[in-house]
Amino acid sequence: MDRATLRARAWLVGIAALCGTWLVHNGAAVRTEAPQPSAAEAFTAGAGPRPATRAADPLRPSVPVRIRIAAIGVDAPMTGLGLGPDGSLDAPPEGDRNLTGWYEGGTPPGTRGTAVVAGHVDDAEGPSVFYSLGSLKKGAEVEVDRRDGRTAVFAVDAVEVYENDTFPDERVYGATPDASLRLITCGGGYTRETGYQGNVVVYAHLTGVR
Amino acid sequence: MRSPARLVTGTAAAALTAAALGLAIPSAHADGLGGPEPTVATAAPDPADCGSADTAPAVTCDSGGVAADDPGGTEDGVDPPAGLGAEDPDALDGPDPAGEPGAPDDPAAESELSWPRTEEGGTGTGDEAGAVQRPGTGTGTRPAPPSETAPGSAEPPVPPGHRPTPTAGPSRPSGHVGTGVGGSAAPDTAQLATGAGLVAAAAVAGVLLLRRSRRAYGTRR
Repeated sequence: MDRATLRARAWLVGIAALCGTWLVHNGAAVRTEAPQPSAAEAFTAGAGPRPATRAADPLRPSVPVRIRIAAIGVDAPMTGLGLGPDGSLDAPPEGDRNLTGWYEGGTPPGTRGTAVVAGHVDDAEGPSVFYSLGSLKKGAEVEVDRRDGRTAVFAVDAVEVYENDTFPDERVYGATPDASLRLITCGGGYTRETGYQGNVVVYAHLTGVR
Repeated sequence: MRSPARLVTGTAAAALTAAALGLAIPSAHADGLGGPEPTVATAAPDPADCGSADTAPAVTCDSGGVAADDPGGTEDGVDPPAGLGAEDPDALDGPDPAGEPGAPDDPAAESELSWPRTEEGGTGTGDEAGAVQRPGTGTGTRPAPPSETAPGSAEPPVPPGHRPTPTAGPSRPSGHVGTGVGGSAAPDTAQLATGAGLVAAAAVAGVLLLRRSRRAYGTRR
């Protein structure tokens, strides 16, 4: 074996080693599972989604523009969402990992009724705006800035997780007599084949206005 | 055994009842949200009843969502409980008749309401004075609880012939939301295995190459 051949093979081995190292590094990148709510954060068994404290008087409708949840470091703009052909809520457009959306065919946050806000838990690159939603605790504060200049302040009543197949539409989207808020993201079990198998839902009610 | 005459009479009565309900229900439901609202079914609105304080339920005065409102929009209890799809985006950011930032919009409206409400299709647009109702948003058709109407308040009469627009169906979401793809969920085991195999093969090949090179150069020396 001459020197040139040896050198060529050494290069091949070096390139293979580099590629292997990159694959290992990429495949084993820190991809932790999004935090899931504990049973302690759910509503009491058998109880409906009731606010823990007296709800503040609702506001008049106004388009929400931004949401902040200090407890989990969320500070994101909001966009309007519609419904898909199957009646499910559209997800916020991909590409911006710090974007949430509200169901603009329904109740704006702060108004009497049930306002729904959704955000991605992650995308192909990593965690997104609602990645830590499942770690919210009861009593945590959620602020929604509105176009009318007011900020609706909500308190978290519970955080629950549901399987996709048994998603409780009425419980989550049903009418409420107060100004209620639902924050939704993906959660539950995850498999590479089927994706997330559930949703994390945060229940909150209006406690004040700033 | 019943006589044929009695059977025929009973059938006729049932048919008449069904026909009467059939005429009444569409107008009562016309712009509802499509959800089951058993209490509405019995509320065949009669414009002549509107404005009568002792026929309080606002459903009988349906006028596209503003029937229960006082014209100025400042009266308590004009904002019925809302569900999804209840608000009219066209009316968002409208003027606040109360004119006081941060002030309660309808302080007494919810005092006697209780959780949870199971009916769908609440409206919540009652406090939007002059709000333009969009077809399909279903505003103003759900019966407001008596507690939401100020005692003794006379509701404005509904113009004869004013009927809500038929609706397009429920406008609240259903089912789960697809808000994740799993990019942060788990390591890629296939990629890990391929990479590890490649590194191992490169190591073995490297060792072999070293041996060969030593042998080759060692013999030459």
